[in-house]
Amino acid sequence: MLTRLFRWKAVVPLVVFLGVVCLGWLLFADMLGRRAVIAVGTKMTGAEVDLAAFHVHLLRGSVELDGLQVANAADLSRNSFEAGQMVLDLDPAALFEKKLVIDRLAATGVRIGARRRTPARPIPKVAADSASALAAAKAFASKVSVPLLRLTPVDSIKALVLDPSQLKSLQAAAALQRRSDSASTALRSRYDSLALPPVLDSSKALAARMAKFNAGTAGVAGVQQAVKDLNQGIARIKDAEARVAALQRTAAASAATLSDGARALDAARQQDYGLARGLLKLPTVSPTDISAALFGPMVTERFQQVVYWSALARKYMPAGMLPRKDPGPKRIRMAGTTVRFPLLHQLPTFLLRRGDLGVSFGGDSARDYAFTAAVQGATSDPALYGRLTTFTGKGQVTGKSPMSIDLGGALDHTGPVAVDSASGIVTGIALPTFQLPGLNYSAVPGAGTASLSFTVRGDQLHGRWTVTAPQVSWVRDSSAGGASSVDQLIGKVLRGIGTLSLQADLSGTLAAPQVAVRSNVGDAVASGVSAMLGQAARDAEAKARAEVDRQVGKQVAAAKAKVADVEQQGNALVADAQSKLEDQRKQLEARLQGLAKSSLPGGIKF
Amino acid sequence: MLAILKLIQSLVKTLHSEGSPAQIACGMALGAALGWIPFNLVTALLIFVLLFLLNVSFGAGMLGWALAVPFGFALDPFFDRLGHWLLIGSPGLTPFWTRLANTPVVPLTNFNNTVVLGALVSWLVLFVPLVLLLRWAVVKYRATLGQKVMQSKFYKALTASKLYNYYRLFRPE
Repeated sequence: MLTRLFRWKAVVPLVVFLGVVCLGWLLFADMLGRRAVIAVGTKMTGAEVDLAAFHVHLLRGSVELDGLQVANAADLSRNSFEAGQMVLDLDPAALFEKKLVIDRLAATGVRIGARRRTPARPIPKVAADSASALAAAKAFASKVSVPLLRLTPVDSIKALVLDPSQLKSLQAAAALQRRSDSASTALRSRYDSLALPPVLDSSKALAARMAKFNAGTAGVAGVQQAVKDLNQGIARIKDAEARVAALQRTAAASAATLSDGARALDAARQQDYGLARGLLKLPTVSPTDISAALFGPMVTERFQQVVYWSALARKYMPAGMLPRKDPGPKRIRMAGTTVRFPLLHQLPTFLLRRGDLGVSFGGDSARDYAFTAAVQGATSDPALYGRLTTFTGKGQVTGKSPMSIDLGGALDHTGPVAVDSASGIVTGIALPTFQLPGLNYSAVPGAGTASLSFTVRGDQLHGRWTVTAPQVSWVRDSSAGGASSVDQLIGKVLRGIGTLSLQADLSGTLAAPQVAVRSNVGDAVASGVSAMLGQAARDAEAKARAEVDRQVGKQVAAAKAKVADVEQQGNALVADAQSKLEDQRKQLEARLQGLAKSSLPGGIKF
Repeated sequence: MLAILKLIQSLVKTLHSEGSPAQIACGMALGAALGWIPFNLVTALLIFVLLFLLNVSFGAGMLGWALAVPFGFALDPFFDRLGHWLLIGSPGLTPFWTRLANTPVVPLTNFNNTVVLGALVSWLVLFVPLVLLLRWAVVKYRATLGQKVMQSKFYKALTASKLYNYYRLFRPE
């Protein structure tokens, strides 16, 4: 039977065939591995990835990457990352489950920001996996509100022409009036649906009948019937009271909602004040507004970078254990969708247990360095791995411009809500020159200290970025024309500032971030501008507020009065119903008690 | 060119005398998996091992492969939908896929890809009907066209080639 089923003489050719396949794999493994690293790396980073050599050491269970370069997508003449040599010790058993588990990664000759010999080729952005993270970071930046700096003198209040259709107070007041009307109608309708008049009428009739009732002549059956009628009447009233209590709750909820709307009118009026201020082009005199206007774009850019890395980490290290869908591999045939099925206590698809990197800092000119970085527990399935991903970096650059770096962070994606946190401080870093938006001056901060702490819990943001530059200098832009009085004032104020101190706080959510900036520059400029333009600005602002009040005051007051009316109407309806029902119930209960005290013929008591 | 010639030799010879209709049908149905399912080294090796070891027609397997390729391309959207339904649309099967996905070697087949799983499942479902249909077709061919083709010069030229000798190693016993 077996002889007929199996072709035994083909065993030898089969073994030869399989041997040829294995030999082919051994011969081409390095080449295939190199191509895979380049393809995956390019897809992940959205920038050109080059690899000089890839070696598989089967007996040692390790892989060696030589000359890895990852280009900087924003500056093709530089590499964002390069490593002279990387040795990856792999867990061979995991490979049979199509998983990549790196027990240890050791990288030497790592450089950040080094110049490339030849510029990298541009990679279409849509092809990169990082595109979604980039989009998230851009969306975050677009939602950060940065005020514009205005230091021009106040011209005239006569220029203020408010378009009523732009005033949010009017829109909100009209909407609130409509809601009040519909709430009033609904309340009246619900009150009518309680059908209280029939209940009250029947109760009154019952009470009147019972007032004439004589237990002595009615007999036992008559008394029993009277008691039954009274109990039924009391039950009907209690039922109606319960319906009125429900109406009371509805009326209270409706009144609360309308009260919220009334409070929102005040917030809308503040927005209208802002609109009027904007139309007048009043000068900015608030220190926080000036700081936000001067440093807001720079601060947003810093936080945007952190949001990008956080979004990237969440893409590759998603929280939770649900099956995950990814586009299938590229091939001539349809790619389809590849679904991953994580299982608790099993190895993740990708895991880097520990990685150590020796980094050169400062691009290709770096010589004197001692910076080491370590990462632990980087995995594609944090919930499976059940531990945090942590990274640390520490080092000092000595020599002409000494610098020290200390950073660390943790990514907790083990639970349903991802928490990313990082902090770092760099002292002695050469801070870049930057232009002050709205002013004809640039800041040359020189060397200073920068620190950043950042936490994203779900979509809740919390971050702080501080910069201290003790030797800041200020340069007037050569392209700027003649100096106005305000310009001269700013120049004088800036020249008096020898140390730049900046603190930016981030809060809110990814969808609605809020950035608060404080700086000694903002304080000093605000103080100077306020002294020069403050009174005129305050007068103009008061007039702007008065104009808004004039246009919206009547409608807002009417809307608030309507809300009060509806609330009062609800209370009155409920109180009236409760009073009438209670009165009737007491009457019937008194009749019932009276009946209990009466006696049957012959003096028999109940 | 050499490979094509060898293939034609084996196919024609197979259809005429090498093996029973059932062996040819089984070989073709097995080989169809190679064209039906998107290429994957592990799956392909497994099918080749079966074609080598089982007493089925190897040439018919190659014929099945060649014939199934266009069907594979054409039916990819259907495979994708079927695989999607099995992998994502059927929560009851998730524990099964999860267990498979964490079993050594199995993930190397790419079974967790919608097109691959759809093609694999449809091939498994169609395997027996395909064998029965092909066996009927081979019997019909041999009874009708077979004799005429055997008398043709083309067939005689083919079988005279030395390459044919290599093929004989894998002909059904």
